[in-house]
Amino acid sequence: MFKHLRSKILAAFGALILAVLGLVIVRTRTSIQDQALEAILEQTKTTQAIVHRLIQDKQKELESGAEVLVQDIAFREAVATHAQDKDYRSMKLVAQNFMGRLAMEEMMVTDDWGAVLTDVAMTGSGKSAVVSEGAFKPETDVTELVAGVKEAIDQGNQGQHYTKPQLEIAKDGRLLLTVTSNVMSPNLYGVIWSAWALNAQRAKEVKDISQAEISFVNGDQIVSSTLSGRKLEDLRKSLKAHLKKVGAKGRYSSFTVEVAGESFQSTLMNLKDEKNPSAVLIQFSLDVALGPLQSIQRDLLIVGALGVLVAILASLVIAQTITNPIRKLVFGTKEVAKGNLHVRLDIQQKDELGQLSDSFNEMVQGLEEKEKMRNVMNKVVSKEIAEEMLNSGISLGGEEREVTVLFSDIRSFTSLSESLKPDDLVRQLNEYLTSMSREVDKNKGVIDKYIGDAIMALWGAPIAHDDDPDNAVYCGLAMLRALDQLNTERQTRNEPPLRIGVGINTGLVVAGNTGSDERLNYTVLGDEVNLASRVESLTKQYGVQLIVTEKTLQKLRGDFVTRELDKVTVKGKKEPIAIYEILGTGKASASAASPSEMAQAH
Amino acid sequence: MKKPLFTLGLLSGILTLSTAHAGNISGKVVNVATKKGVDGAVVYIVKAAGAFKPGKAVLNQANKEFSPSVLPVLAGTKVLFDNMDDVKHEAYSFSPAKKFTLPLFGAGGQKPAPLVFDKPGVVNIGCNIHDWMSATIMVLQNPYFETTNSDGTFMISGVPNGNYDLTFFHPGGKPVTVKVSVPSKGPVTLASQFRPVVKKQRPADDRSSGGRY
Repeated sequence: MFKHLRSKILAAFGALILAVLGLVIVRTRTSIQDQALEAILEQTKTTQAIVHRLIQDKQKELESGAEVLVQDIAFREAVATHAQDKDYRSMKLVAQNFMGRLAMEEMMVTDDWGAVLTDVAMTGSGKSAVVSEGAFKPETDVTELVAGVKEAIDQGNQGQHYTKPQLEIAKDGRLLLTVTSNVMSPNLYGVIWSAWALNAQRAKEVKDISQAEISFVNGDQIVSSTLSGRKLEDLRKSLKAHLKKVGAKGRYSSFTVEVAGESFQSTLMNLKDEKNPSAVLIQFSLDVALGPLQSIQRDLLIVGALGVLVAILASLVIAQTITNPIRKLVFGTKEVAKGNLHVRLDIQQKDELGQLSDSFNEMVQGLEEKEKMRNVMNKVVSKEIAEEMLNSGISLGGEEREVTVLFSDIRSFTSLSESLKPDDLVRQLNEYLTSMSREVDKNKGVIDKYIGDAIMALWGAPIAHDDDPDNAVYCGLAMLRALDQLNTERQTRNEPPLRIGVGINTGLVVAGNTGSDERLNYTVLGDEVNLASRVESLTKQYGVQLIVTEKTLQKLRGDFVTRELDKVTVKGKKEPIAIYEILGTGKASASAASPSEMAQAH
Repeated sequence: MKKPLFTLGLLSGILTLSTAHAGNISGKVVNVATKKGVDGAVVYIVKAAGAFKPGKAVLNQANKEFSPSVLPVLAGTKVLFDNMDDVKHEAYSFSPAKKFTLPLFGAGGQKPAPLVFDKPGVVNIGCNIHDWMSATIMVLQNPYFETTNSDGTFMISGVPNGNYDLTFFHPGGKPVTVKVSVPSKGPVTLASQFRPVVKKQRPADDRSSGGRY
């Protein structure tokens, strides 16, 4: 997938950073959410306690107020008097007066039969107080209509004082804290009922302490709330829908609700008992609680972006110091593989890559020098000899081996050469030598040396083969054919044809590197070598092109057309050696020449 | 319009009377449930002919209680309110038969002038300061009345012959009226229902001298 080291590094860095980042984000997210919910649940519990306490305190306050009121001398007298006189207007004023003193919001006074004397409500206080009529008109019998009145009258008739605090739901749905109390002076003269609503003001008081949104609920209706406007409307709908969905069983379980786009963890708490519809809804904003989460996530994303940036920069830096050098090394190696040994690397680093580069350069330099040496050697000696010398070590010593030696020579070369310009002479000579050498190579021979226009080739040294004599003979024949071709070319250039003689002998020679330490020549020495040279020079004399000795002939495996030419005497040997002309390959062997020719030859 | 007073009716009492002697009405009021005599019930003839001369009576305040708790008087009687306590009391009543408030007075201070109770009726009296204190003065048309003894017995003497309505009254209960004749034709028994007077709760930490008030 990644062709480049740099991409790999970038991908690795990037992946690592993103993985760590992702992990951190997920962990902190779940951690913070859990903590937020837990915190909210704790706060909800506390708020429940606050609401309970608020109601308790207020009820105690109402009760105390009622107690003082019904035993107030002036109030008692007023109730007794106005009841008897049926002076409802005066009673109303008395009620207003006392309501103001005791911070009650509604007060109803009845006579000792339960008939209403007055029912007034007061909103606001002091100068801004607004008085309004309550639900019940004077003279209405409320013994069955208002909580506690019946009991108050009963108790009063038995001479007992009665005070009872309640949590009531008014006809219009409002939640009221009420106290019903009878007026004894000293016998029953009447009953008062005072009320204090759980309104938006009260809800706000709870919110100020608890930081929760508070709504007083009757059934599934919101009676009063710290929320208003669109949020309140939203909540009304959502609450109704939610309560419908969860039914009675799920009424008091915590739930999440969206109000005007903000998420709230909400809990409904009953004010009296689970069956009673009066309840308070406590809501904590999840968005606020999860505020830290948002900012942390934002920070993490910023860190992540920076991290990725750092990754990119790091990978670029790495590219400079690692991948670039590596790329250079790759290039260098490819060049060497191509054969370019001039290539050198320029990596100026002190680290391992710099060292690698230096080593590479040294190596290639070594290769280049060796190559130079090899090339020189190959030019000086044949490839095989050079190989042998390189492999087995350059040594001065020699060894005796059986070798087939071939000599060839251009006839009348000297006279030819005199008529030529120097560079022309060299050109023609090299052309000839190249052509002949090619045949030697083709026939697995080894060029020992060039002696002017003469060529000395070996078969059997430095490495021996079974078919060395055959190869030598094939080579000789090939050389002659090649010469023909060369002459054809020469003719097109108006150059005279060349004539050569080839002589081949096989025998034991001494082979080895002769010369001094500085300059060596791998060659063969011995009488057999001289013999080969002699039979070559005999080719002119006998008018043939290729002569082999019987020693070579004996060793031949292939079929050649031969003609015995003569017998020659050899230094150090008693018996003369027969020499033969090779005419070509084939089965028949030409018979001996006529005796006269043979005698002539000797 | 007025509904009858509803009562819990836990107890019932029986009264028996006999007019053994002309001019006397005697009897006994008994709690049917406990078989004990009912103390402090007022028995009185509602209306009798004659001109009567009212006298004096005393309603005392001692140990932060009214004494007696039920005081029947002939209409026109001057009732003196006395205070034996070392704290001041303020007796009052809103009853139509006699509405009054006696300003705070204590023992040793100047006693208020006696009040004349001249209208027949029931006067419920309380103390503005001590909520538990209560008394009933029954202002009656004639002097033919008595309060039952601790065993529930009573005797009204010197009643002129005639047919009368005899009413039994116990504080907190519904009055019961029966018809009697003097001299009687025989003993009359009837059972009626009374609720016992339950004393109002006194504060537990009230001390008889000094106290909160």
